[in-house]
Amino acid sequence: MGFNNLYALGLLPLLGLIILMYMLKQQHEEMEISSLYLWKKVLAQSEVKKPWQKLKNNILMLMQLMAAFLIIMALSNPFLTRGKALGGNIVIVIDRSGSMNAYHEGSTRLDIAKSMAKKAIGESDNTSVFTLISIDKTANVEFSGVTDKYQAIRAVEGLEKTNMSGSVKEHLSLIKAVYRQFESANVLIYTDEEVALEDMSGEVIALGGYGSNVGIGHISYSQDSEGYTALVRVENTSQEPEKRELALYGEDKLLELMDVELAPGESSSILFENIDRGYKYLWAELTEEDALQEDNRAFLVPESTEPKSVLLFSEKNIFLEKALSSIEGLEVYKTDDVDITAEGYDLYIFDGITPTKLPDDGSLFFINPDEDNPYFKPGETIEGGRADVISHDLSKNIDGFSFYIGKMRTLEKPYWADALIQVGKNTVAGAGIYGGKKIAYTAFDIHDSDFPLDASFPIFMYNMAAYLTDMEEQGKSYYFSGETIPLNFVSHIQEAVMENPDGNETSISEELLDYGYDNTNSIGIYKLSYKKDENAGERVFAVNFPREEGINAFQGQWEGEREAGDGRGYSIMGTNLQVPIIIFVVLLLAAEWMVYIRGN
Amino acid sequence: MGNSIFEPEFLKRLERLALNMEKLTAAGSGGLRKSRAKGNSVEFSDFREYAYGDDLRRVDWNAYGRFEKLYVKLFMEEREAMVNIFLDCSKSIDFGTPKKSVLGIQLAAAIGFLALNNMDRLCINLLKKDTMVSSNVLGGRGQFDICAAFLDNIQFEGTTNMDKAIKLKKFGGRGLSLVISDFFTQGPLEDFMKYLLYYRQDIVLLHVLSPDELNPQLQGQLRLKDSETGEMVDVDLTPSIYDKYQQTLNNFKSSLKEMAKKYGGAYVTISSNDSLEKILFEDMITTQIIK
Repeated sequence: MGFNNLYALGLLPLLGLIILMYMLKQQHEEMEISSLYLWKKVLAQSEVKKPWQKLKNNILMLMQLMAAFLIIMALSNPFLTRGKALGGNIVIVIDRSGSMNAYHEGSTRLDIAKSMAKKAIGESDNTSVFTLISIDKTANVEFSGVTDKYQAIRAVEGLEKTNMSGSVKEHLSLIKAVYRQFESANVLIYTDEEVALEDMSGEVIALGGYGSNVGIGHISYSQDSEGYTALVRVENTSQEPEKRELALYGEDKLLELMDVELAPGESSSILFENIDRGYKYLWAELTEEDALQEDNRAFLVPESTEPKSVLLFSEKNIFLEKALSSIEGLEVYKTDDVDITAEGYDLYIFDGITPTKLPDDGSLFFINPDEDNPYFKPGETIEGGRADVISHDLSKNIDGFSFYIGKMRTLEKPYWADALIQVGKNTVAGAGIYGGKKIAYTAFDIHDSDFPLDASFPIFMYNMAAYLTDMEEQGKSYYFSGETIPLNFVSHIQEAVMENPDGNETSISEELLDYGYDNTNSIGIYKLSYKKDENAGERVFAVNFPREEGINAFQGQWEGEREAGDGRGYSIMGTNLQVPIIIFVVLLLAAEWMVYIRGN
Repeated sequence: MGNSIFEPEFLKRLERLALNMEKLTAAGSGGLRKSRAKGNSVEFSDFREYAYGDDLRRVDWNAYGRFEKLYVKLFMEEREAMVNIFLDCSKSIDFGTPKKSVLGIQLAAAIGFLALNNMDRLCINLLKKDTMVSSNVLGGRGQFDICAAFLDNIQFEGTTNMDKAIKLKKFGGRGLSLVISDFFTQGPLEDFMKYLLYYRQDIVLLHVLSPDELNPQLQGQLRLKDSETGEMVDVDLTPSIYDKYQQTLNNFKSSLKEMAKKYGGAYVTISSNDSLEKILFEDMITTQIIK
């Protein structure tokens, strides 16, 4: 047994005061009577009947003494030792990856981990210094060097569940680094993952185990003329055969229900065919609750299927054709007939030739334009030089690249265009909007440069095609919780707002679009609403529970590990007795009151 | 203490009373001391058939003439009884409001008067600690003054060992022994009763208690001091303790009564608050100690 507050024991002499008060009070009034003959018999009879009767006169005093003693004990905050336990520097590591959401007897593993950690903090020595590390997709040092137990407990309480994929093993090096910054420390790792302490002293508290669980491991789709076909893989991670009902939804509409029966460890792929196009997202759900809820649903956003069409006016340009054909979502058509009246394309590329009549629709991309075009005034051919790609939205990922141009035309950069590539002070490539049209140009023939041989060329072409056709970057059909959703698919967005599956909205400023959106803890559909060029747009993204978390959650039971280390930093601690003592004192005072009432 | 302790009227009433000696006569074989005044006072009682050995002078010849059977006349023999009064003189008797000792002395005097008035012989024995102080054997009314004088100026002190003290008494023959005490005594009570019975004494226990002892009016936490020994006991006078006291007192009285009955005697509880008239004319007549 030990005390967290030894100073309170200094109040013990007060017990003597109670005895003294009783001694003063206890002076009986003396009275002479004829004989004690009968009284002795009375008292003897009382004592014979109740052996404790002797104490009865003093029972109130004894109870008050005991109550006072216990109050002092409660103030001293005693604890029952269970041998040597942790103290000193304590590094608490709590795994809060997705698998920790698995339920065990009504509580999630994370809840159990938190309550165990709180208990460990509560029972630790008052001189303990706490560091808390939470593990999800990253290792987060929540606090370090905290001596206030309540602050530490509050911080542990504040740890929220995540659905992210995470591994303590992956972050063991960080844990070790934190551990080693102390001269001596003990580490407490609460996880459902099998982890070794290696050379650290402390304890790994194993929270893993078996459970009844079936999860959706994968969702994908394909499309044909009949519509979408969705494939859902369902995996039984239990030790028992399981039967489930699998539902597929198109947005909020239930499309189909299927029964699935799985042997232990078995997985099954289920196809849902002939799903109408037009749903912004599809999702599958296992309707029955089980040990891990989070992997019971999986979402999917089908890609936009409308390809952009490009008409290339070119006599022969293998580089250009290759670069364009490698861009997904583009349908490239080629012609060298300058007399056709073309229309209906998203983009027209003029490689050194200009048609007799320029198209009315679509965007235009002039490569080495001649004098016939109405947008530029090309001059004489001059010798080229080193061309530098300058920083711009359209030079994304090739910013700073350079190549050499053999010869080029002098061409004054129109006022509406932004410079993209420069040779010296001459702009040799630019883009902008003129008369409501997106127009881009290069002032050199690609064949007269080593640009096509450079890695930057296809990227440049992609950037130009994407810009000129409004072809937004197609995202993945779904992301995993914790992953960053890229938002740089389109530039010049204004007023972007992301609504997460819980209905919470977050404004995203234009500067932050390049960083993407990484607050993807919740599982479900995220909606990005934005304004671009005064037009409102919306994109949806799906975020799913990481498959490996569902699979690993029920790998089996293991016993954890305990390494006592060299004993430094250990101190005596154990079960806190303060609350039980206070309860006992209250009961004792109630009993004392009853004795007092009965005695009178 | 003299005759003046009794009112004339009271004395008149006393004169009409006598100690009940029926038990003596009922048990009576004819060999005890005969009354000196028997000539005029032989009182016819009954007839019975003659049996061998009967005194032929007592045969009723008239009856024989009529029935031709021999009948013997039976006569109530009057006897001169020996009355012993044992008065407990311990300190505890000298307590109570009114004092038990006063009533004890009055009671001894009244009984002495009754004895002397009925021409019985009287001996008053004062029980003090382990010893006994006895008066001379008194006889006749005229010696009541001596009786009263003996009862005067008694010192009540110490603790009486009734058993030891009574066993110092040498009895000449059968008689009536009255013990006046609160019986808060050391030693076994039963032993002295066996002793008295052995000497063919009719036993009468007059248990004198003060109202404070019969119904204590004490309250709170008290340190009770024994007047005889000075011993002290702390008592919290709770209702349950009162109940137990009453129970103990009743048991005590019952045990004395049972003991008296067992040894063929009588028992009376007397409160020192009671008047002598009530005790003599009610309690003792009811219990047939006096007739």
